[in-house]
Amino acid sequence: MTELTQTIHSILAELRPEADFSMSVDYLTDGLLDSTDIVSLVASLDARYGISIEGTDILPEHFTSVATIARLLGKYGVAS
Amino acid sequence: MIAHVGQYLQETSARWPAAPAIIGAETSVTFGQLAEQANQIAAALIDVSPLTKCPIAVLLPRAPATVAVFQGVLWSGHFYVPLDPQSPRERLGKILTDLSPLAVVLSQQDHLHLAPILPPHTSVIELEATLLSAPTDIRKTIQLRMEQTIDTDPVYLKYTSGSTGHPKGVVLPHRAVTDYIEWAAATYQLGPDDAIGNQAAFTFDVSVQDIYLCLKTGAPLYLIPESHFSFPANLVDYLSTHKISYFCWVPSVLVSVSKLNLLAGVDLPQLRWITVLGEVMPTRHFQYWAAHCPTATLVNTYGPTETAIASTYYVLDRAFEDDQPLPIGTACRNTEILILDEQQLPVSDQQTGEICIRGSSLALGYWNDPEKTAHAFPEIVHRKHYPEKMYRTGDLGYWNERGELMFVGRLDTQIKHLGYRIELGEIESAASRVVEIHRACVLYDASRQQLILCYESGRELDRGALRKELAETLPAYMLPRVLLHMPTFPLNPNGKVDRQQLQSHYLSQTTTPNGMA
Repeated sequence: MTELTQTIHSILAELRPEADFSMSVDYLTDGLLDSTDIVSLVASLDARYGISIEGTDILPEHFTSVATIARLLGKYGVAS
Repeated sequence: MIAHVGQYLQETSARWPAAPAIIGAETSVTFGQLAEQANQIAAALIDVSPLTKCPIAVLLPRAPATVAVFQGVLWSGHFYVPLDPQSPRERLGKILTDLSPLAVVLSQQDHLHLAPILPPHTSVIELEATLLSAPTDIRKTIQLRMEQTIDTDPVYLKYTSGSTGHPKGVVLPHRAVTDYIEWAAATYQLGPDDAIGNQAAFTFDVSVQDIYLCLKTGAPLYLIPESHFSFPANLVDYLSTHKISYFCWVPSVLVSVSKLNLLAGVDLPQLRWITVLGEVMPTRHFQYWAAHCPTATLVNTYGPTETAIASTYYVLDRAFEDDQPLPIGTACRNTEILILDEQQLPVSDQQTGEICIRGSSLALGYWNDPEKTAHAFPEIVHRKHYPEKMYRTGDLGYWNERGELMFVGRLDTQIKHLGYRIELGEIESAASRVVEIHRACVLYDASRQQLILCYESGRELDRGALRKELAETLPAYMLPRVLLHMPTFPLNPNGKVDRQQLQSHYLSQTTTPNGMA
């Protein structure tokens, strides 16, 4: 696990401590993240990495797993 | 003049049988099909019992067939109670026990897993099998049952958060809904060429406006997929693709689009009405929508669950400073707003007092709760010549110099979170049932839109386990995001929990929040 994926894991655990993200292949269809979680997650990622994720990038396909979130962050120059 | 809410579909399906009525993510129906489905549901309910005017629990998702079920219930002479089948089972069980419905309508799948909490002697109607059954001609029976319904009979009952930990059921009569819908249809001037974009869950009363504006005017109702509200870029695409011309959403949805500047470069020429209801609309974000949707009229509306949909409305007619609150306007038709002091007497001009509502839109009261009903719906004391009820909202407001109503805040700890009305006491009650928690106090940080649970306990509890336990009794939107452990709560001189000090404790752990409840 890279430092980036570890950080994403810990942000997710902070958001939804009761959820088991490790067993999920799609956080959205499994109902692990709702609309308020997405808003909080984006705010946390923005703050943690000093970036501003564009609204047009806040799409379901970028929030299905740690890997897709990491790819999205890569677009903003966050190294994995 | 329409006296029975069920008449809307009868008239519209006769006039435009083949026109699209309700468009869901997976299925859609025409007005004719909707009427056929409603007929099937009515037939099944008429078979259940000769009784009428009974509550029928509808445990179905937000889908076209659910609207048909609501109409079928009304056509059979009963009233409907929309419930979310995804709610925690314990909460649903409490509600069903309180309601004791004549019948429940649910899907075959939900029947299996909800069977243990269905009250004994309640008939079960499975949606799929009922819609597939052979059609029967029961038009005469339906007509008779509708004629036997008077306009003060219940049309729906909606459960809302209760401060003692038990949700309370608000019962609305036909005349409240028909009076409001006639006003709304005349105001918004919708027709079959329009398209209504629904956001509200069917358990939330804004959906009543969406459904009956569709059934009254022939404007198709689009049930926008819930996931689009998590990803507002998709929501803006949806508005454009489906040429939505009218919507009434909770302000937090408009705020999420505005914060992400998703309307920049987007043209929505078909959008004629942008209306909001359910919580305070932040001025800056309302003006963002006004600037980017020049063809639309923006309306800020206000109304508690205890009256049919909106009681007041304000049409945006001027520019505001970002920190200036928006008016909630003037009363809708057949509604009067009274601003009263603690003795329930009128305050002097432009003074702040409790917003009270009188008129045809009032609920009949709370289901099975005469005490709460008497408290919230007292007689108007300063009009002594004949008795008349009003509704005490618990909201504070005043008339500005233009004669527009301004909302100031609450008299109690009720809050609006993502459009949902929540009594903080209900969350406190759920938390107090956790074995290791001695006392619980819930705060609300409006700027971050998050609920904070402060709990008094001998040790800090595992966050995941605590949230999981709370989720067994509370719906997802009521789950506190922040869990603050304290060995002992600060008390005020009266020996009560000092909420101010708890807020200071929370604030000391975070940065620049405001608007605490």
